[in-house]
Amino acid sequence: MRSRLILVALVALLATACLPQPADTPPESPPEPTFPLSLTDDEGVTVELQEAPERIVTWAPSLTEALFALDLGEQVVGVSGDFDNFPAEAAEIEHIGGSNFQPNVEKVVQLEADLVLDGFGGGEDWKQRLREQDIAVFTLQANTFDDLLHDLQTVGRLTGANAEADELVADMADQAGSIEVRVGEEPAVSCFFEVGFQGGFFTVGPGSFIYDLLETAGCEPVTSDASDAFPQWSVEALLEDDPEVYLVSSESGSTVQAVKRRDGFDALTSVEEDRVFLIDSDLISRAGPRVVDGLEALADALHPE
Amino acid sequence: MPEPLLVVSGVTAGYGRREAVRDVSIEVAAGQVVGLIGPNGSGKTTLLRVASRALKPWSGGVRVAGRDLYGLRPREAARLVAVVPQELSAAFPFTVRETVLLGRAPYLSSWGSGSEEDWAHARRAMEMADIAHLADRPLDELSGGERQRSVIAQALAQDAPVVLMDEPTTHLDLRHIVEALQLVAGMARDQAKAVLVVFHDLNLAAAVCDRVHALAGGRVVAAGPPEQVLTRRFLAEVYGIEAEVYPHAVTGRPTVVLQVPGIGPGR
Amino acid sequence: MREAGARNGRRRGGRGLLAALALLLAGSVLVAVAAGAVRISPATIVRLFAWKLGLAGPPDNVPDTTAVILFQLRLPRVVLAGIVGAALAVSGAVFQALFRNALADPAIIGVSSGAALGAIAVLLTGTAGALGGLAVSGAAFVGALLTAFLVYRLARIGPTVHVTTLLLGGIAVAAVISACMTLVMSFSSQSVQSIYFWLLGGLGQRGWGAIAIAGPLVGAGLLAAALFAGHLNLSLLGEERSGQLGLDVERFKRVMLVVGSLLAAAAVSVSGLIGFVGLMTPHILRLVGGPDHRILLPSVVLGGASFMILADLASRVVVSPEEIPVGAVTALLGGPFFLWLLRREQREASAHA
Repeated sequence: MRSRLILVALVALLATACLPQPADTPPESPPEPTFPLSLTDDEGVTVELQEAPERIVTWAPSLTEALFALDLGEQVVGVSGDFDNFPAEAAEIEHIGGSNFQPNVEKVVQLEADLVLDGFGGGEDWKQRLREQDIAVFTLQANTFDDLLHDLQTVGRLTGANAEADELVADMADQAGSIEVRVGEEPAVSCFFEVGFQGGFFTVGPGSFIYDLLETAGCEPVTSDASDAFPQWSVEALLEDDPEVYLVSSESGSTVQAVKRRDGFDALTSVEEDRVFLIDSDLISRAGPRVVDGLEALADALHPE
Repeated sequence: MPEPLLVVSGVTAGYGRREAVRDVSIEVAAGQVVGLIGPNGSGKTTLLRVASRALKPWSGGVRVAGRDLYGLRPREAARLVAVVPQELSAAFPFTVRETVLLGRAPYLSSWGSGSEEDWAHARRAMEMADIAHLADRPLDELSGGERQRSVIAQALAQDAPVVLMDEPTTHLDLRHIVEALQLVAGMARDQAKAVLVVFHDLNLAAAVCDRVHALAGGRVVAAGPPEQVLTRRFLAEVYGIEAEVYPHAVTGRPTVVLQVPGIGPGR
Repeated sequence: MREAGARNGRRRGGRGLLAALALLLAGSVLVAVAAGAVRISPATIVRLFAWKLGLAGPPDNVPDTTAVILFQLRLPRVVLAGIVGAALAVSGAVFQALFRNALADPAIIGVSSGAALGAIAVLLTGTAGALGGLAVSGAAFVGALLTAFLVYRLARIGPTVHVTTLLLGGIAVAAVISACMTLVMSFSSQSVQSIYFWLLGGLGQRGWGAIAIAGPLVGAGLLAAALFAGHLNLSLLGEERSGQLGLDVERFKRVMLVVGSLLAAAAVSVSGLIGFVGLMTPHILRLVGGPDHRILLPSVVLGGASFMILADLASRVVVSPEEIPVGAVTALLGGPFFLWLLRREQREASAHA
């Protein structure tokens, strides 16, 4: 998978830099948006758009960030809620969050949205009701970094921002590629990623987006046998596996100091060698444009210069 | 002359704003069995509750062995007054032995273990109530009569000088009615207790009571020895029935014989 | 002689039951200490304990982590499971006596939710601060106590507590509380996830610190409950009858609501929401040993501790190194049991009608 990523990065590099540009085409002119268009989303629903949407609602902070990164921030008329806090302007946009983790359909209709982007999946009922109102609903679910790049390109096509998306994806692939090159020079380090400690001890397993990032950043998680994307884990097993690096997601509500103080944790090599790091969960749990920053943070923690 | 063991004086009581008994006075001396009679809703059970410290009267008072009942702590009161309720049900099934031993509660610590003396009291109470053979049976597997005798035993184990009973013979068959009444009479005669009993059946009241108090509409309408109270005229006025009253052939106590209107001599 | 023998019949049976439960608890502790995600041989365990108890020198050829796993992770977890199990079970027994109903359990009547709401309020506002775990327990206690009084007032109609009103009252109160929790959590969206995990319930990560907090509270609660064993027996006869037998009913009820809430709150504040322990344990042991609280309470302590230790053992070894939330294990066992109990109660009610 890593090689595929490098390939994408190389192709992107070639596309933007190495290929000679035709002299008569000004480089800033974007390729023509291709409307009407028809695309199939991650839930197998085919969505048709007659023209570029002007009023967009996002149902995931990652997609809000994606639209802002594509310079479409002004077209975002509704976001899911408090979590949509980046960039700062996003916090000013109206919330459409209803109860039970479902958007308020009336609110979306009232906002006269012509496209709703969902980043979680599921929720057939509210999606169906919006589609009955001729509001396009498109679902994007990224489980890997490659998925994410593909999804960002899809968002670009849906919004007519093809060129911006291609550029963003190329930049991200570029950055990820150089991180991979950097960490590839060293052997993978064993690591553990803590999602939660209160009540149950939760981590990530294969199949989760974060797990994919960990591997990309040059880590071999000790939870590779987990059957679930977010398994509850045994502290005993953690001590036995004794990973070289201990990563704490900020959403765990814990701190590096608190981790080191826990009963028995002083026996961990990572605690002894001061290799416990707090990772901003917004950067790695949101499959959005800032993931490369998260990747960078992970790589820095796992493979310090 | 010493004060009677149980003195109910000028009691007016009720529930919420509804008055149930008004200005009732009753005295029961040691060794006496006093009956409370009267039609349904006349206030018998209310009066018994007042006398058992379960319902504080609006006015008037209850004195037991010379002390104000409502000035006592529940534990002290329970050592002086034992109640035999009409029904007893435990949320979870105790055995008969455990049930009877609970009658010793006023003498036990909050942990509830009994001394040899407590066990002896419980055992004697079970023998007197003829349930010793049922000791290990759960209460909820017994017949109505056996349960009622267990309740009587529980109150006997309480070993209080004043005993209040609410229709103690309701579920009993004839033999056990006789035995229960014997028990009631024995408590007064042999143990010098003051016994106040609510009776529905006037003949049973007449058979065992030294005095009866008749309640109607929450007031005492007649009081005295059974032969003075239980008259044709009384039955007509208080119960509104036609009935004959004869002296019992052996004891001479009044015996009420009912007559159903419209039904003549049998063939 | 025969008389004396018969008189002691159930008490002797009670002693047998207590002995059997003590054996069960000892066995549960041994198995739970011996088994876990990391295999430690019995010989190593014995050597490590001998070393800790000062009977032998430090064992050779045993990695340091093994001792840490045994003494800092596994042992406190087993001890805490025992404390929480005993607390929940006795809380259940107390509420069942108080409500005179076998379906009363701190989780079902909403007392656990009340405790959780109190704990969450402190966790989220960060007022725990200097007091730490004790503040969480204190807030949990206040929440539990208020809920207990509220449900008791709701469920009691005249002298009796009706099953339907009790369950419906409990459900309604729990629903209101859960709505409050959602509300509280929505005002502080950042910590929602950790609160959610906290609510799920678990014993794994609390360590000796939690034992230091919950241990004394639970100990005090158990002692208080035991001191009133005779009064708990009396209260089964109903308020009027127990009053006639010398019980200061109002004072007793207040004390017992406090004791039951204290136990439930101490458990919830260190282990989150774990249901059904307080329901099943007293009921089963009452069927075996009778309703006398002088036998029931100690047997419920032993049985509840064993049950919780075994449930936690299952939660950490069944899919090791992954774990199952322990609340899911107890619910998996307790849910069907609850339904069976409910049907039985209803059959009995209709048989008596």
